[in-house]
Amino acid sequence: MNELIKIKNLSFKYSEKHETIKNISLEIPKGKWISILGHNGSGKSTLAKLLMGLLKADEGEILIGEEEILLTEESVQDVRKKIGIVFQNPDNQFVGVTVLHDIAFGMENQQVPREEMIEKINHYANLVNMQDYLHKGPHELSGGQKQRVAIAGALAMDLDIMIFDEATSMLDPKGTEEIVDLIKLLNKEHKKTIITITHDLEFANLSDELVVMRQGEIILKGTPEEVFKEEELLKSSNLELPLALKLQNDLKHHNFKNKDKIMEALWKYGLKK
Amino acid sequence: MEIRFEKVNFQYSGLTDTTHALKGVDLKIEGTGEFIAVVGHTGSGKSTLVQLMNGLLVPNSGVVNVFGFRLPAKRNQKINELRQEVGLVFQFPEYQLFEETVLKDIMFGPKNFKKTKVNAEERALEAAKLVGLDDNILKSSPFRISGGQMRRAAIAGILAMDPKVLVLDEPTRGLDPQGRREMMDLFKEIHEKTNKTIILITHDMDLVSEYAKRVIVLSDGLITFDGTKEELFEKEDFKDYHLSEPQTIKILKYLEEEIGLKFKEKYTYDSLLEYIVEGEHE
Repeated sequence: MNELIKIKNLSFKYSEKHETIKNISLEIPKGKWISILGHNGSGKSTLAKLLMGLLKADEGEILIGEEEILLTEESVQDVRKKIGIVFQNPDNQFVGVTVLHDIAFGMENQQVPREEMIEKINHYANLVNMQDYLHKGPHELSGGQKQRVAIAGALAMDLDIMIFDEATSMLDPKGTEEIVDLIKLLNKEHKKTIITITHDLEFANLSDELVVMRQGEIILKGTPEEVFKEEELLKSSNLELPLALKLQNDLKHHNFKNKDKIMEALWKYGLKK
Repeated sequence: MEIRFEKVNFQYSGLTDTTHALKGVDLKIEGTGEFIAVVGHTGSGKSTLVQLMNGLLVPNSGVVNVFGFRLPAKRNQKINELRQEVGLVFQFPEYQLFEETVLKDIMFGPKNFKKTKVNAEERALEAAKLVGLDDNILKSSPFRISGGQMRRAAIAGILAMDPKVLVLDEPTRGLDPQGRREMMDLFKEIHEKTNKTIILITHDMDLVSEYAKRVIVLSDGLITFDGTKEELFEKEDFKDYHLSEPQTIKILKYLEEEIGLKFKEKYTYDSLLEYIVEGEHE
């Protein structure tokens, strides 16, 4: 399988004392949805910033795209044509006066011809279901709507890879659901490679593979089914299993009627997609 | 001593239109012993409701009475004293830290409310202990500690004023699961130790089901439900509130459907576990 992202022995520290990313290696195949999990301060957002070239690694390398572009200060503009990011706070990434201008912003920087730009704005505003809001300003939009605009702006750049850095953590349940549905659509229908950064295992359960970080290192990797079996390791990274699986785990130490049936049902419920 | 709303209306006036955030709300909250969750969709009036409780907003009509303070205020009333009684912790309170050290930040509130410096420090240390911040951290800059610690520091700053009622606007948002649990257990502990009334604004029905005793549901500026959590979740027309069911209930319903385990309402994780282990369902 061809990898769209290859991370080799990556290390980074903000200050002399404290290493934030410790010798991480990871390969992300094309079309997959990967969730990077970890406690607050585990280094998961730093890793995203390194992938975007917003921070420069102290050691190691990152290769992006099928042509394996080595991420450097010179190549960072090329890399950003392949990989985009949506951050946590919807208010910190809305740069346009209106939805239309905000979606256009990235394309303007790339000097996309006007006709093509208009076509793309309409197309992607439709895709994220914001076509009726093109002339609205940020103060007239909900958090979830602003996040959808940010996604449209990124998609308009014809990206292959989208990173969502806790993109739903400031939204209400309805806003969260809208973004989750959109991520599913981008991955399944539009074949985008997706990286979601989260500490919500219930949400991560939707992805193909989970990568668990603790204090700058990868401590666990695998499908949800594999990772959810390691409750102790997850706990050590401040993570909690979806409730049904936590219950299943805690019930292991007890004897009760119909144990096998109940245990099997809880496992099935906890893993349902 | 209580908080009372009588026919309270509040509207936000924009340039072109007016939004009615609260429409004729009547409400009574006891000054001690309550653990209330305020739920409702974005824009339903939750934040407006709690900001009226400590005089950050003043009703357009109707009366808010907070432990004898009347809003709109009479001229000789000191609103500062009211703010001391109702401690309001906003969303992402760590964004409001600003002092040189964590200790100074926690002391800011009590100092401002004309406590002596020694007294303010004493209260700050007490509050820091309550939220689990150790001495090392108190000497650090609030910008050099972790996000979870920052939030604790901000909450300690409110607790140091020793308010009668603690109002928390989505206090666990953005925290990792363990941080979330620790934070909620902290509020539960404060509630149990001091019997202070806690008012929690949240979207998270699992928190409601695990921690709250009473639930107030707001919808479009109206209170559409006010009662115990059991009454709410067991209502025939619960669906009409467009709130999700707690996980514990969803799991039990699934078990009934899938393997015929008898359904019984359980709202906390421990009671769910106990129910399955004791096998009363046979």
